[in-house]
Amino acid sequence: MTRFIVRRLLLSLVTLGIILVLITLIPNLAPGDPARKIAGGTASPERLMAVRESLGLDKSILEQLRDTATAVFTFDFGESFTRPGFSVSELVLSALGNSARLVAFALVLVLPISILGGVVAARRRDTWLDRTIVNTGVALSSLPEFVVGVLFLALLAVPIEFFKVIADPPDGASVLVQMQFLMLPALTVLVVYFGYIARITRASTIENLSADYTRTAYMKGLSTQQVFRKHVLRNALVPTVAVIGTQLGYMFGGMVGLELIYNFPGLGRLIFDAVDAADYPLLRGGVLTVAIIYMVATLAADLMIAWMNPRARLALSEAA
Amino acid sequence: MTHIPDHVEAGVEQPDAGAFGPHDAAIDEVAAPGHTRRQVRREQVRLLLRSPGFIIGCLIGGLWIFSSIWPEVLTVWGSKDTVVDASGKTLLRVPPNDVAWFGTDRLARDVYSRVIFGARPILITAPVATLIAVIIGTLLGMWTGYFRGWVDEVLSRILEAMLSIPTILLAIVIVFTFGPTPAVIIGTIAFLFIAPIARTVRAATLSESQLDYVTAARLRGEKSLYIITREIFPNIVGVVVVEVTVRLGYAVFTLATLAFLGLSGGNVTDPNWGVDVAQNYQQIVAGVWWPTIFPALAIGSLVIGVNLIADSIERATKT
Amino acid sequence: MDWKRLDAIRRRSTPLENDLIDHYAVGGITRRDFLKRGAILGLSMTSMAGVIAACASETGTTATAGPGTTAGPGTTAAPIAGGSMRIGIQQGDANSGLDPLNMLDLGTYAVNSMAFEYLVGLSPDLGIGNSGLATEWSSNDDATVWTFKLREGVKWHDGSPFTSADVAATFDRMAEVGAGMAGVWVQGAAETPDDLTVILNLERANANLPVLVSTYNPQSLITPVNYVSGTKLDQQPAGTGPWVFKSHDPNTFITAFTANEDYWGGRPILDEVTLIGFGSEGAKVSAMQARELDMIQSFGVTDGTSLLDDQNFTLLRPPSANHRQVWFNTQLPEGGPFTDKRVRRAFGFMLDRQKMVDTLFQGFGIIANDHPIHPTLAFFDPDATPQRPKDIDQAKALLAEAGYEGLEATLDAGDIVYSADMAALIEQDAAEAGVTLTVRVTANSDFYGEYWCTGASWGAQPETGGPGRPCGASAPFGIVDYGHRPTPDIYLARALGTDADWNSSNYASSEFDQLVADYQAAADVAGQKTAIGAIQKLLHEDAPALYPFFFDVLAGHDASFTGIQTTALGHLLLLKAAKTA
Repeated sequence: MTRFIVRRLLLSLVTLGIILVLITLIPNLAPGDPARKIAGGTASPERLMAVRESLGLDKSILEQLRDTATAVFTFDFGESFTRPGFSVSELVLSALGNSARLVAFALVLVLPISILGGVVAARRRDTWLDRTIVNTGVALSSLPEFVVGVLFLALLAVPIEFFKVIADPPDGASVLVQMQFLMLPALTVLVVYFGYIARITRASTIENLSADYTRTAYMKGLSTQQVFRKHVLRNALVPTVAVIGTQLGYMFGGMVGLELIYNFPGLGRLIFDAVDAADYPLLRGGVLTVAIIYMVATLAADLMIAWMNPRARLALSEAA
Repeated sequence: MTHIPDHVEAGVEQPDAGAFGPHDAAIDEVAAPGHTRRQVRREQVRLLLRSPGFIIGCLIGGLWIFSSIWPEVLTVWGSKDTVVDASGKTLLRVPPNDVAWFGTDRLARDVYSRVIFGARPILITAPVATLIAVIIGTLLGMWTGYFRGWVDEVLSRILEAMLSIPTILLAIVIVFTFGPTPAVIIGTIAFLFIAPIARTVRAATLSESQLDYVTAARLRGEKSLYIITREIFPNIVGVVVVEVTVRLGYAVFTLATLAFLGLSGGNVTDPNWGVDVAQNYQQIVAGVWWPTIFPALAIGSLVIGVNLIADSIERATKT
Repeated sequence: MDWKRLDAIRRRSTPLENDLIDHYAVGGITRRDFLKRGAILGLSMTSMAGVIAACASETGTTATAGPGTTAGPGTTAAPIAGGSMRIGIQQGDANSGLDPLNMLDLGTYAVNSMAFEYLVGLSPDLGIGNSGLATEWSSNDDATVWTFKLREGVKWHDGSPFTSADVAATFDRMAEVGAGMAGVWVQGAAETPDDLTVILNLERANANLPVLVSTYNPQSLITPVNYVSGTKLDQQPAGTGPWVFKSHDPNTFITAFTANEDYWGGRPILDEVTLIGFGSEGAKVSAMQARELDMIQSFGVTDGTSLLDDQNFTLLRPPSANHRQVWFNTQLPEGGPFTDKRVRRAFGFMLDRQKMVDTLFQGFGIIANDHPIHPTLAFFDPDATPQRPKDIDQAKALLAEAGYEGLEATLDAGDIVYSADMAALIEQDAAEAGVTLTVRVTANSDFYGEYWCTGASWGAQPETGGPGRPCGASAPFGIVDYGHRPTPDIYLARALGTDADWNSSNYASSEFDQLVADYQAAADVAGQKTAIGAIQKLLHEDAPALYPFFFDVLAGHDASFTGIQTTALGHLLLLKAAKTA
């Protein structure tokens, strides 16, 4: 097991390294002069020089790589260009906090409903209920989140007072009030992920229901409920956990359209704004954060799987 | 279907939402004895043509393809014309009615026309990008799946790195860096889709490579190129076809999102579903929903249509 | 006519002021114009009231003395003391930050003008008046030297006294960076004989100078001696105004202010005010609609229809000469289509101005005639240039003559309300004349630097195209926004003057410059009218830019608040703002 973890960590480092190279290279690849874009057309030559220096563009690529590496390990990307006086770390952490709240709330909605849907579909396999759940879910999951977002705006936010158009709860609001403000984006996430997760859960539940060990458990005299809870579910949820792990990165940083529509100050929005304004320090910090979230989430998902499923644990150790 | 999640081995499972779950290598199992590959295929195609999902998907796709080729046939107004009623009065921001079936937008343009004409940009760029990605991705996947070695290792690491960041973010970064021209956008999508396609094809090739007939071919002294193209490829065609359709769905999805974020090639006033949603959604709160909802539904219907086709093909190839 | 009374007033007025009084006395200008002009010149309220009263006795109208007072909206309910207010404003330009000297957008104008004040302020009806740091001002006989008397007892927020040194330092800084002052005065031109007097020596005569140091030149905020060009409000909080800077989050562009207990005009009624920036117009309107805001700084007609229909929303329509200037780069690229004035004029004939006003503003605007002189100004000459009509045939003929039939070009616009849609309409109109336009919209915070006056800078000019071409890398064809100014000085001198820093047209006409100088030096309305009439004709002939319309700025607040005013440039006048029961 430890071998597996160590190997995964090493692999993650390699991935990190590649991402590092990517984010270092970007301003160098951009056509035109990124310094001018950042400083604005009204900048004096001194300011341009200063910007170029802080971007590191006056140094060689190798030096830039080394600088970025240092920045990554100390997590200090300096100050944001578009919001001077605010360090990248501050801005990223603030946006991260917001996204974390949304993701947590969304998962609270998505997990029970989707898993339940998948399990029900599996147990009532090939009935109309099964087909409805699967097909509806699949259809809804294909929709881009901004499409769902505008549909919700029109159908829910406008006519119903309860749903807030702007997902920005006032400071210090209670948890319930925060949930009210985040309701629409969370519902959008639910719609987008329901089909996907329900389908995976359904597929693996079906497989586990007909597995040998399940039959053995029944023969041992355990009731359907007990079998289900103690054995099937644990194994059936393995792919679900895996998927959540891999999707977490997307939920944190990939739902830009959603964040724009609801004016939600999340991580995806932050990165988008940074790209838009050629704010490279902020961009680097943001992208790196998303990559780290992804790596941590997948590692955690794997560990959880290993804990849930002894056979998987074995296979993982062997694979290492 | 194997149960150890793929990502333990090779990397990441589908990091993007919007399609149908992890693709374990959907291998065409060698048919039951007595059936040739061709007979199996024919049976699969027949099943396909009868599945409701496939039919609906094709209808939707067909409608949009027609719209992209002959939009003038389906519309009364041009996509940038000012709509006037019988008396010559300009119809500004009016809800759906006889003159403008989907209503008019804030510049008195016919929303229905903009939806029909808006099919063309996405129906050109999405397939082109997907095709490029599939060709390169399949070649790459087969190469690494068969030969393995250090090239495989290095490539896998790079692919995993790429897949650890949501596609849309990478797309935004790349398009912004190089400028939102149509060429850059198509190139970016193609580039970003190579990774997942390569991974799937690689896994399929890997499994195939371990089967007896491949070993037999090697023992016979066949050249590697021959083995890959003539022996392995025909057996993984099913996988590739599924990938094509699934990726097409993703391409439509990503292109629409990029357009929504303001990254569409060309003239910003040209009809484009994503751009129209972005420009009009703020008026929903004011009760003006039609310039936003119709393009949004158009996007939705196209993605669902493509995914229905993808799904039914995938199911057909598994029988 | 009460000549005795009039005489008494004339005796204590400067020659400039007397010219104006005489004009009014013989009925040469309306009372409204007399009041506006008189305020600019520095005539006191009492004098003006006296003149009006004196003249009124002949016509028999019992004139009410002085400029009218504005009845605050809905003042029937009793105001509550204290409380707070949230106001939605435009998100500030990322690059300038809260820099009072170099700011460009309405959001930052609002934020900075909460803490800082102007030398010359406003009258109750939002014309020029003495709500600012100067209590009175006057010029010498030929308007080349202006003297300002400063208000006594004003303190900066840190307790130090406000003196003439601060004003002089501000003037120096303005001259250093331009701020529209190019050539009007130079560094060191201000004298401070004592702590409460400032004398400004101009490079040439300018009878409109007080406007250039008033609320209507937003970048002329009076900042303390220790500010330099580039200092920002959140880095070095300061100010003499009714609101004290408390905090600013550049991430979300939210700025909080608390009431200034020691404000010279009395403590504001509210305790706290928060300005919240919005990147998207629609989000701002939604927030106002949902009453997550109490006031909205400005909004577009298209997105704001819900507010216009809202019974509990008080609409504010401050006087406005807002417009969108469609500029042509008249010199670069060399040999390009827009260097030919026939091509430029052709575009003038393509535009369907009324359609623009109807579509974009739904009546909250008027068509304009390709010059920036608002028709309600006293010196506007309606006969100099007949309204340019939409004439596609003439447009085509001009294009053919210049050899540019079937022209293809790119039209650049910033992503600010109305500009992108306007570009779409121009594209439609141009198509009728066989011209194919590609519209390119850029995020507004980047637009000014990338496509507009990329040679304009505060001090150095990295991309100047040489003498006569201050905006070396401006786009060939673009749309830029101009906020309200009560007089067209900025629109003429700064936007079209040779080597001026907002001259994206790279217009270099010495004839034009001379006419503008004549206008500024003109002592009376007749003189101004002559110069302006000639300017109108010249602009029609040369067409360095097109002006299709002027439009109203719309702002507003929840009906439960009173005492609120706003200017078309986004200033928030909240001293008397209060929530009612």
